[in-house]
Amino acid sequence: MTQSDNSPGRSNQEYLLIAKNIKKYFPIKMSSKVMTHRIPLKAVDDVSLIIKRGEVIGLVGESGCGKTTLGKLLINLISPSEGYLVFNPSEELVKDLGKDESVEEKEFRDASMYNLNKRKMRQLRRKMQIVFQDPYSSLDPRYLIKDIIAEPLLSFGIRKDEAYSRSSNLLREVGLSDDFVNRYPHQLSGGQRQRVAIARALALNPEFMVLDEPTSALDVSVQAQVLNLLENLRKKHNLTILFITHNMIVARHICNRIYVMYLGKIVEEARTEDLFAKPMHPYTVALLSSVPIPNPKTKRSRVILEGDVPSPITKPRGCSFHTRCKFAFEKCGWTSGEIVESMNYILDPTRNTVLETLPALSVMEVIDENRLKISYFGSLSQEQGETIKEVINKERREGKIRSLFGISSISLENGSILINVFESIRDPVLLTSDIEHLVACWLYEEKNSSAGSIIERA
Amino acid sequence: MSGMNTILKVEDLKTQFVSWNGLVKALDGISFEIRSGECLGLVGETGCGKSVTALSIMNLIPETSGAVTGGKITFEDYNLVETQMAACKVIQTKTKPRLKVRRSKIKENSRKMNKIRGGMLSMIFQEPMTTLNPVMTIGEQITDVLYAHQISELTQRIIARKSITEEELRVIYKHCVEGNDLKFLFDFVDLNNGLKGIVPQIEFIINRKDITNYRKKKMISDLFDKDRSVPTQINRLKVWKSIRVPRFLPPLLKQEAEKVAIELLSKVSIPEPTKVIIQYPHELSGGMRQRVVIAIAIACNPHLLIADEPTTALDVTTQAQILDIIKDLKNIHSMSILFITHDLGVISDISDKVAVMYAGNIVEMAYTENLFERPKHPYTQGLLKSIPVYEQKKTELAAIPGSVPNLVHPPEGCRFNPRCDHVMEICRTTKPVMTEVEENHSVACWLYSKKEEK
Amino acid sequence: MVGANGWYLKSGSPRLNNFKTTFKLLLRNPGSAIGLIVVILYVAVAVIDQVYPRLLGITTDINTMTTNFTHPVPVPPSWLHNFSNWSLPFGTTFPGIDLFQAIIKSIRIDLSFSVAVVAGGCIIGIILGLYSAFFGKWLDQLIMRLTDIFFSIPFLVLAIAAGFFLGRSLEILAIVLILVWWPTYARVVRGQTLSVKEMSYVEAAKSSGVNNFRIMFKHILPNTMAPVIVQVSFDLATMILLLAMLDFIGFTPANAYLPELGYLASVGYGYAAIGDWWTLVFPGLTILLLALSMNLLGDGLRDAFDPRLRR
Repeated sequence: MTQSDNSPGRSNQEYLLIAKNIKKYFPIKMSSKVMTHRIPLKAVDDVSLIIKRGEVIGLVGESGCGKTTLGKLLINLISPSEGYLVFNPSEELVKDLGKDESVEEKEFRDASMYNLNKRKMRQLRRKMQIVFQDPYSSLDPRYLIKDIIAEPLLSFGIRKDEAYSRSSNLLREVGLSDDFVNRYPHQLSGGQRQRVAIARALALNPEFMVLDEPTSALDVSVQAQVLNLLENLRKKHNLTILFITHNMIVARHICNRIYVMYLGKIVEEARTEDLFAKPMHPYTVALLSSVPIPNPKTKRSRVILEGDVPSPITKPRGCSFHTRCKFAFEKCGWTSGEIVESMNYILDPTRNTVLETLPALSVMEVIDENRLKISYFGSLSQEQGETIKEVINKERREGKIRSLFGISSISLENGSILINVFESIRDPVLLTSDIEHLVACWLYEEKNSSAGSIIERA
Repeated sequence: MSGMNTILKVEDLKTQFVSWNGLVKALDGISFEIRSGECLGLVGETGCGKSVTALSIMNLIPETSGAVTGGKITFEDYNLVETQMAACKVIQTKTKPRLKVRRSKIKENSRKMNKIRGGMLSMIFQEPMTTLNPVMTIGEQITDVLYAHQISELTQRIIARKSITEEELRVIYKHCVEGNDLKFLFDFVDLNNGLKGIVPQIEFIINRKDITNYRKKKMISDLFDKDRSVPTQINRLKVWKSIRVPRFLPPLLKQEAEKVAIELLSKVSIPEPTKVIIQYPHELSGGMRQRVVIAIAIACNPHLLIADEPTTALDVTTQAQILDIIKDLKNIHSMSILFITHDLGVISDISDKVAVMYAGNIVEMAYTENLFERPKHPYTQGLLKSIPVYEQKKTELAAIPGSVPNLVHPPEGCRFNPRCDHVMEICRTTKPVMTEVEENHSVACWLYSKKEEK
Repeated sequence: MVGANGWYLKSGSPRLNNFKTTFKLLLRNPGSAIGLIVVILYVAVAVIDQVYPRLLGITTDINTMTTNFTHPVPVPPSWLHNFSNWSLPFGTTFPGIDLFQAIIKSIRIDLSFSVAVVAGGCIIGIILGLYSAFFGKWLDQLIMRLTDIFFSIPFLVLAIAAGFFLGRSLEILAIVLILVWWPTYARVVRGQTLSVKEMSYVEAAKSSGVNNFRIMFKHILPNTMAPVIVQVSFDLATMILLLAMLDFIGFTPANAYLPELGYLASVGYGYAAIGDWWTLVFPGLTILLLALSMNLLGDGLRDAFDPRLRR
């Protein structure tokens, strides 16, 4: 469980939503030469979070990191592979949080939204709503605006005339005049459509609202209008909002607390001010520094990440960020496969004159995740083995090639080099490094909370 | 930057589209110019005509939907819109506007433009997946462009390698790598005209950051070709300038094109380019694809590169990588760039000069720092205020009320007048013209023109 | 249509499913306009024949052709000899049937048969396709394998077999054809549903507690109709041709004097060989014109539903 609930004596009224170990795996068909088999695409991988009443939570990350999937899971629009989600948790459940594993597990199972029957779920539905990213596909092209807004009301058995009068009230509330009532969505601009989508979400008077990139399809000037509108509506209706976005500037503007996601996992959680003032996870640092700021005068030291986000199907072992991390070290979960490439680079005799005397490199064989065998044409002598070790150790000391940190030992066996890799015990977990600032990174886990920001370390 | 001669000059460009609802006045007389080695940022909201500007320059407006109806685009010595305007005209009939297309002129125009497009003038599009052909490998796609425009350059490279001596290479290495004096190379080549093709090859090796000098030395000395005989086919292609690719290319040329493709890919920092050239677009990630698109765009050393929202479809971290590459192109290879985006952050990062567009007009143009520091036009001011500030948290954003006008029936006078806070009587009737209010800072707004009159 | 603030450029294009726009686009193409007019004419003839046959000069039973065994040999069209005489515009065919009246009667029978088959197949196909795509998983597998099975049955063999065992009536023929015709619609609707299902307005409806039935029939179905309508217009022509063909090869319904174009053509085929050309030409032309115009209409509809045309 996350440990942000460390101050005792809070009433349960404070908590709106508790998610525990939510996982969502999509089976992906992979066909090899012989047969097809399914492997899981871990879209959301073991996420736990707590949302308090009245908060605006930001969920940021790059495309494909699973933030939209998580958003939909949190309002039970899709069902998870595993995990529990409790909406409006009871007092007992909050009290038992983090005390006894088995008791907690049972209570969660009983209260979980995913285990509710259809009728109860339908009643809960009206308390949580979603606004989608693309205003062009989120409104049915064959419906009038008034029908679109009235539809959720009608489906909960509200009388027709009342539903329609409510719908025109809602339209006014989102800043659209009455003459929009009898129009079709295609007659509206992107910003106006997004307002209609917000009005529809508000129709059932929800407590919790998931906004899935509501402004990313809009222009800057319209984005500002929508953000202002959301802020006003939040105050007026006492909403709790989960704001999913890839735009850090917008997240900073509107959110109280931010979760940073990378490849299906939450890597950092903090209050907005803390996150921007002192980002801890190397990924967050890179993310923040690559945000283009519309001010040519601010000169920042930019951390430009190398490479691309790995595919969620073949996630890296250990901390999934370690392949791009500038601070990765021994523990981060290197595999022998990742070391092969850098070995190829280092052991290139044209690059390193010392190696020119050696016989030609024959093959690099990945024995398993933790072992790598490098054989040469003809067996190596003890001396030659030492030379290679030295070359590798030298590069490792220089620290430019991070993957070399994964090597635990190099030995000479039967005339070829055998490289062992540190075995990773587990993935890094979200841990408190400051008050209400959680980060999932070995850098901080190792030195506990006294690590300090990595900017200072660098 | 290096030279300050104007490379592209757009004067009073007007482009219109024929739509279901009437005539869309997408561009309403815009003018700007780009000097060589300069990066002009064109910024504006959706539908303001940024992309139409790029398409008009490239002559890529589909003749079934619209046409350039006025103005002049001068790119180096060419007038780009002359034949295009003759080929396709908008005629206003009683009920509906229509397009009148003359097929013969279209052919003439495309023949003329094909020489310029891809060679001297090239473009990067927003969506890298649709720009690349899914059934051709990356290598094939790059070499295709090279065959179309660069055959004489490719042959020159081969011939240069065959005529340069080992001694000369040693001298070049000594001066250029050890002495760190690239100028020597150019002087050296100026003396021996047959060696022109060696320049990009050596430049490429020297500019590489990932290898040691020892390796550079080896690579440079490897350029020496023991086989000194130049095949007659190659010699014949030496002066090839046509865009029609000869049916049978000598295999030597194909190998050379592949080498150039690898050079290009490593220029845009693609790791392991030898692997990438035999891959298909779907095997690459979005960022990688966009790099390949850039590599194709710069394959023929274009004099002007038009980048139409090249980073919009990408994530921020990938965007930073791509922006870095484009910056390198500008700084190291001193390429002139027209950078189109809706993101003010990106524009402030990359461009020297910014032109702000609104509803088919350029409303303000200035050097980047001036524009962000002292925006003059109410629209620019509003735009800058409506972005959340990164450095501190604000409670309320100052949004511009209303939305972008419909360009079939744009507002009379200044097109911004229905949304403007400072609207005056004259704004509703007469269109303001660009006036220079400060040095190199011009605005199209009556607020400033009036002051001058007084 | 311009709002107070004006609207966004892109949204200026008309809505994909706007009836008026579709109609306008349809009439823009001369081929499909002619097709539409001819089809309307045929339908009008069929309706009048059903409602008020006197208007077309039919005074006898509309479900059988009136025979005249006293003059069974075909008589050529009356205007051939005397241009002002239009009493027998198409002449007669064996056995003394007035060809004009017979063709008018058979248009109604043929049209109603093809409409019944297509409507039946369409409804079954739409419902199964919709359920299959919406619920997915095993139901999808089941229905799709079912369509595969029905696709693999040669309908001609099935129709003849059914006629042999169950009796040769139009109703049985219709049922048999419906059985082999629904899978086309099921596939079309399933494909469309799979893409519409992913639209976020469907998800939005789900999240606001709208029940599945309403989502399926109110949100998804209307947005999948465009290709179905095109398919229908092609299939109506196919059905008429099919019935005519079955009748021509001798799979005649039990009622020997049922007015039916294929039967008329088959009778005429024999007489045309000995010089009575009108007995074959007029029924044949009627079929040809109907099938052609329906196909033209279908082509026009397909183009009109193409979003690229609506810029």
